[in-house]
Amino acid sequence: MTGNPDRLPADEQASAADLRMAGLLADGFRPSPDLRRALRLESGEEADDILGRINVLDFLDSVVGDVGNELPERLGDYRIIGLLGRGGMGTVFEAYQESLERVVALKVLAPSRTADPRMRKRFRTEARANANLHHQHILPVFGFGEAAGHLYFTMERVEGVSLDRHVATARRRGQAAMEPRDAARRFAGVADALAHAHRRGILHRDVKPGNILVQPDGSLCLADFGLSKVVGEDSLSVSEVGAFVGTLHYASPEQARGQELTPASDLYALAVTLYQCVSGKMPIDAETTEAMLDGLLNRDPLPLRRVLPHAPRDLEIVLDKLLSKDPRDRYPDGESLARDLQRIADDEPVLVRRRSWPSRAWRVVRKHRVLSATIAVAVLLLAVVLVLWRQVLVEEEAVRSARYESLLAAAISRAETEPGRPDGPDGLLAVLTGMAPETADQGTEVLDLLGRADLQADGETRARDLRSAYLDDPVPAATAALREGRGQAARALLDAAIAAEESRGFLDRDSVTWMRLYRLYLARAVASLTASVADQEGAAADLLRASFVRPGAFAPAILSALVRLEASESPSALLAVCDRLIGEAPPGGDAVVLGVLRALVAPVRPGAANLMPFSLSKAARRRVLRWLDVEDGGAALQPLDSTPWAGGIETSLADAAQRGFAGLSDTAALRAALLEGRALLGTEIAAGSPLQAWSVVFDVIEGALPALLARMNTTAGMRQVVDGLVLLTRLDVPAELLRRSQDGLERVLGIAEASGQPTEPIRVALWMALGDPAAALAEATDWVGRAADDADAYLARARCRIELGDVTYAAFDGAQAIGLALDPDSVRARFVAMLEEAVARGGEDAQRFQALSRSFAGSD
Amino acid sequence: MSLTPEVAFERYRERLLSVIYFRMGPDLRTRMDPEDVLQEVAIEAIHSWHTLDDPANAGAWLVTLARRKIARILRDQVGVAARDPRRERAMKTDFPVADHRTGPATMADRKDRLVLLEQALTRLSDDHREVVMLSKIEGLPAKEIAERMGRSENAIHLLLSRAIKRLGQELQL
Repeated sequence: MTGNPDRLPADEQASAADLRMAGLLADGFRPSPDLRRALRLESGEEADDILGRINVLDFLDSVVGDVGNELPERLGDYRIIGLLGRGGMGTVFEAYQESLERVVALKVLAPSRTADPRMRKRFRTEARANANLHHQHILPVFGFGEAAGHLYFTMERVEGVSLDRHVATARRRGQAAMEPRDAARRFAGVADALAHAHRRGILHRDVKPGNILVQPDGSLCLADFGLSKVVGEDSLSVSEVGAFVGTLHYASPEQARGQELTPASDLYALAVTLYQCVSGKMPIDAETTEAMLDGLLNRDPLPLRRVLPHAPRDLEIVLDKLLSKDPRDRYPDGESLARDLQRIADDEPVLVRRRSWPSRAWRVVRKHRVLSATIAVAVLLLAVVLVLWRQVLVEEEAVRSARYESLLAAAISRAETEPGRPDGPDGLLAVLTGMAPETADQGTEVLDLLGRADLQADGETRARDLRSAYLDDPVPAATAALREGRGQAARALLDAAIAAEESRGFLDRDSVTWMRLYRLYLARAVASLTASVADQEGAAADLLRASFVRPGAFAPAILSALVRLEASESPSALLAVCDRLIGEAPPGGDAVVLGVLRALVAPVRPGAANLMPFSLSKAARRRVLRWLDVEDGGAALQPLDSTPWAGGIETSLADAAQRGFAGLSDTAALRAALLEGRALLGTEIAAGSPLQAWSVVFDVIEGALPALLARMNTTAGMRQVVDGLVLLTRLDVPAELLRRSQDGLERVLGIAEASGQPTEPIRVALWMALGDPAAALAEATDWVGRAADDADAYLARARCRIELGDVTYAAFDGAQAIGLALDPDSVRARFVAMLEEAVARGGEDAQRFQALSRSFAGSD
Repeated sequence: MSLTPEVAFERYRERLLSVIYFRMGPDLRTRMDPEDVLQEVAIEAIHSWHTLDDPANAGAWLVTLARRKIARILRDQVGVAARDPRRERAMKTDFPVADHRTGPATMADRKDRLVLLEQALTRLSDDHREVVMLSKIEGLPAKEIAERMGRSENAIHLLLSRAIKRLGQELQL
């Protein structure tokens, strides 16, 4: 492009204004009102010149965007890693605190609101007061600060979604967010939290759904205490017409009058929030600010039962009291309110039982049950074993040559601590984990010793017998069944074999038959750990028996440690167990540990390995997977589909389901598919196995939705229904089926959600099938918000975005899903398939999707 | 724990669009949609995200990606353009907005200002234009600009100061 000569003529000096401006720029110039004022006061040519240049900079900023005021990547000790939400007062980010190595929620106040130095002071006071509030239902504030001109404070990063999201979602569906008694119970906690704060002289001042967080277990958590005081929103300026009708809804009459706020004002706002959650409406509502204010001061609130006829009378009374115009007529404190709310909650049994995740009590009972069932057996065995070992050694010593004996003894003691050969009795672990069995000629020390003993043998066959006991599969048919994933069948065979062995009594035993018994117990434990049996207690008992028979054996030790893990085990505790096992493993044993762990963290999905879905949380799985990545050198992340389990039980179930889908219009085919599915469930899957969730799939195919509702009376039943529905959405469900079952599914989902079950995956699929991708996107966004490290959530949202033609953001979600997945390759394949579908549909975005698809498919 | 491409892209989106828009120039913009380029940059960012060593440099890194992409496009396009005698000279002034947050009034206003700015920039000397681009549109720190333009940091500040003055004259502000 042409233009003026590159340089100014050599004789033109830099003007004073040039230099001065250069100086300002060098100092990291930011146009501010103070500077402008100073320049205007200064007056004169130079000052005008500078002002002019400042205007140019403003112009540039306005065109190019707010480039200068970007939030830096780092605020002090915190590194911003994600966006959690945008609120009225600022934005909440996810941040990583370097010094303490933890993730926190970082709320950064909008700079426009915090320019006033008095506000900074107030901010500090409030944050300090907040940090001293410790209550179960108050979101902990960790700290606060200021960096790069932004005020921020940090809070605990909890999983959960703010209540206003729930309310909005519910409104979208034409429902209320909570059942009355459930709401009463949950808000009792919040009332108690307010009481706690009030006792310490702290008012919240801004209680509303946006400041209440719903945690995954359904409990509520109050956040942002006192913040509105900092930014000056506590006394409403009525002059700002229009801006305030929203916040006015939660304002108390005294607040509207501009009077001093008291604890009763917080309780008023809580009442409005509670009212809204159970009914979907506001107690006082109006179109304009004036009308709203008038109603607030002069009109009576709408009684709850007018909008929600079946609400408990008690709740109506409580709310009415709380919504009194005179603060003195409300509850004296949060505590008494909490008590009343609790009473309402406990009063009558609800139609749907409250969901309760395994509580501490349940955990303890379960553990005791395992112990008590096996203690009798264990004690008996121990006594017997000790006695007989002594006997055996004495006899043999008297009869055989010393060398033979010592080799044999060495072999036996070695066998106790060796991990065993993958294709030997301990190879059952390989059966479980799908590890490739090592080649047969890989020797172990035990086999080596036995071989040498055999050379010494003089008509002696024990070494050979022990060798075969060490190598041979127990009950070959059972192993074959295990390889096919037919755990029930395997267990039946093993039950028979064990009964036979045990019935021979415990006398005249030698090391060979102890080895045989060991293998049988181990095999049965493994059978119990398959998905189709899922009998954790039975497995634990058998492992205990196996480890008594072979005290130092490693395989039972690994499996026991892992079987005893609970769903609520923290990821770090889990990793500690992993570390310990690896550390204690004998040579070659660490490969076994890693194999089992890899199996443990694999996601369970149709057609995948037939493993018991140990009840680990996704967070725990991912931590272990990362740990495995380090320990196992990347082998951990290889897809498990390449194992011999591709033909497991779940594949058969999925096949039957698919045939059911295909047969929706063909009654004969449909009936056949249903028969097959239910037969598999009846014969191959134990009653307590999580795979029984597949029955829900077949119920839906059959249209037997009332049957589903009947199941939802218990927590376990509810969970099974939700799991089953999620399974359904992972298959290729024809839209027709979803449309047909929509009403029934809505009821089912409503009940499930009221108990706090996550149902987003199902809803997303439902909306997509019903041709409403925007609604599906909203649901998917909720899901992402609730479970931010779930690859499936991002993948679902990517699909919605693809439907809506939002190519770039679909790309981000796709990348995010792949990055978070436990099985990245299969997720990538799914994403590419979605893109290809979009390409095939044609339209103006087809080219863009093509480009995207190519780029994702081509990369490694 | 690290910065995700999505968050980074969200934060620097404005800047990237500006860079792409200006660096493409009116000719290229008749042949390609800046939004397509933005998408390609986004994809490239996703795939080469692991090469970003320090999340603090995400902004500069993304801008570099954008510049490289455009440079590549320009190289490829040169041959094509030379061969086509019937080049449309209609200037594409639509500022791409996939973001639905800003209302239509602001956007139109912005479009006008964008056209003005681009025209004013063409009338600057190469050095002045470059320093404004690097500093105000790409947001590079003075140190880097100094390196790229082969001058001292002080010289850059002075150059920018003068460029702003000249720009003001061209814009008649």
